[in-house]
Amino acid sequence: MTANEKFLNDAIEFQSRLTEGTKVLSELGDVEVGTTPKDPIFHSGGMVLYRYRPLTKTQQTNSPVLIVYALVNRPYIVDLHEQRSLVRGLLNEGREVYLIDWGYPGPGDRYLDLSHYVCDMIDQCVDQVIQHSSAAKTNILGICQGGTMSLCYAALNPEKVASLITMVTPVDFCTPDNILANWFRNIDIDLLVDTMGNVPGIMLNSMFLSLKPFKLGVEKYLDFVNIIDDKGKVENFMRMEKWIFDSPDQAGAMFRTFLTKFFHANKLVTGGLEIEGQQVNLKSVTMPVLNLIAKHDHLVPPSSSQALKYLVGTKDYTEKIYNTGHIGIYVSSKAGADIPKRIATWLNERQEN
Amino acid sequence: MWGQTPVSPPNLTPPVFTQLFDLGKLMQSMQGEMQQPVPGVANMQQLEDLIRAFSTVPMQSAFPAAVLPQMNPWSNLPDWNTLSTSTWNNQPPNAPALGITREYQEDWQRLISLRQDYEAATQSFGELFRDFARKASEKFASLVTEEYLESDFDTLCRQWIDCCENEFQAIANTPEFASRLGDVINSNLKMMRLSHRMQENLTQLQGLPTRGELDSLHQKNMAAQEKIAALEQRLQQLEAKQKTKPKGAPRTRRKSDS
Repeated sequence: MTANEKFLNDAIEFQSRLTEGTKVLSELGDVEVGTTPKDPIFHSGGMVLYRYRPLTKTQQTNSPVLIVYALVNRPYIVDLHEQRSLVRGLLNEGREVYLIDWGYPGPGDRYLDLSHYVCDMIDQCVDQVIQHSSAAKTNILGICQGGTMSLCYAALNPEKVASLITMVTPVDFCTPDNILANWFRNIDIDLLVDTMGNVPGIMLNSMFLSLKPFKLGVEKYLDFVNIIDDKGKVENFMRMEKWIFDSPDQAGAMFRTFLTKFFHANKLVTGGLEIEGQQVNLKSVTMPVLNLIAKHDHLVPPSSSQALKYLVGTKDYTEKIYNTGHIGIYVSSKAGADIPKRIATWLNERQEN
Repeated sequence: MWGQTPVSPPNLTPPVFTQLFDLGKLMQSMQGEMQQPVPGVANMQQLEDLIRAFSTVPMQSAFPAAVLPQMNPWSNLPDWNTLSTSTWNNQPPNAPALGITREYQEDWQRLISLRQDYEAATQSFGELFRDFARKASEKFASLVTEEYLESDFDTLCRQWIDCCENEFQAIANTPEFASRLGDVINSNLKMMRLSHRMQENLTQLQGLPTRGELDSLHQKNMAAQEKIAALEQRLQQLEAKQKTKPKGAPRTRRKSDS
């Protein structure tokens, strides 16, 4: 076979796979996400606090885990599918799991600020978790931006936090490899928020995709064609696709504060961050800290998360780097299998002490 | 718009491709447009079309069309379509505005001036993209050698993606890229802000509530909510204090008791 013939065959195969794939796609319907059973136990505005139903006969009720997710995407990434669920993993380890769902901020929420999220909403949820689980304190698992907010909360309320787990969490926003931060520093944030009110989720998503436009905008769909005749794989792909583009708008005031105080002024590192008149000093984070990092994270470079080690007040600091990316840390089979076990073991060791 | 920066196809060295295979004609064959499929003669024009398509797709992926209406300040203005032919546009932006409509004229002049700033910023940003697209294509062309005769379609596509991504990463984290991107976004926002203000005037003329009025209501609402929350907290503290007070403790004397 000549090279031309071989290449033509490949192209024809590619085309026929696409044709076959359209049949699979047309029969697919909507994909289900976040299916682990859960009950809402508290509402405040559009925010809902959920408690997951136990999956094991015995559950450690005196050491709950509260998951605080970012505002920029929906939290069901931690329970994307039965086989890819951080929540299920923790439940199977016998942990009691709670999750804050921030909802979709509407135009009337544009003045919600960092203080509302940290001092009101997270605090209310922590109180609810403590009350509901009869624990003296709660463990917090803060993810991405939710990790940054959790750090602020833990620094302000160390008496309510038994331990803090941060996952792909930005801490130092000025490391040289942080492309997103370098881009954000050239944008007039006051002009943006004053003009747009809430910041459209699609606009942020566009920025995130622009960080790796060819991998995330082209190669991903080339991979998709290769799996298009496999219904199970296509469903997994569509779950991720649904999650990636399910981006709530950002409350204007929160976005302004987060960008100016963290991305521009890097106040977690330089100091001087104030929320509701209280100084946020990471030296007050004296509870045990487990910091989970993705080695190939294009949104939160490892260097940004690793700065935490030198900033927190605790002597009980553990760090684990996974050989995956920002999204892979939730959904890759290897990290997905290891993380719940690691968290559970780490928590158990601290409970025994 | 800044997401639609045109990317010129680079000038590739024809021999590299003509010695190997003809992607353009293969694509034509695949689409059934050729009477004799699998030709032996290269067609550079079609190859360029293919590369142009490859260069355009990621631009659209990175800055999807759905973003554009959100970023388009002109979508708010009913007569934007006539702006380019209107007399305001023919007037130099820095010419003095005259007469009873001078404020209105000044707004349009300012809008045109901001539009020019935005176009300049977009062009400057586009130059970086053109430069990057040229480098990526040159890199790709240099990689397509005899050994690629053994490659398949998928491998070749991925090679092209890697070339583009690597070249993009080389410029994406430079101060120049961040600065030009910032210029595009900020100049766009300035246009949008002014168009909002002009829209606000039109809304007022229609007797409709303006965004400014709604914003001020939001702020008052937020302040009221905060006040209520503080009062509720105070009330809870007082109730808790009342509950913990031991039975039989002397009642606090009030002025009226005396």
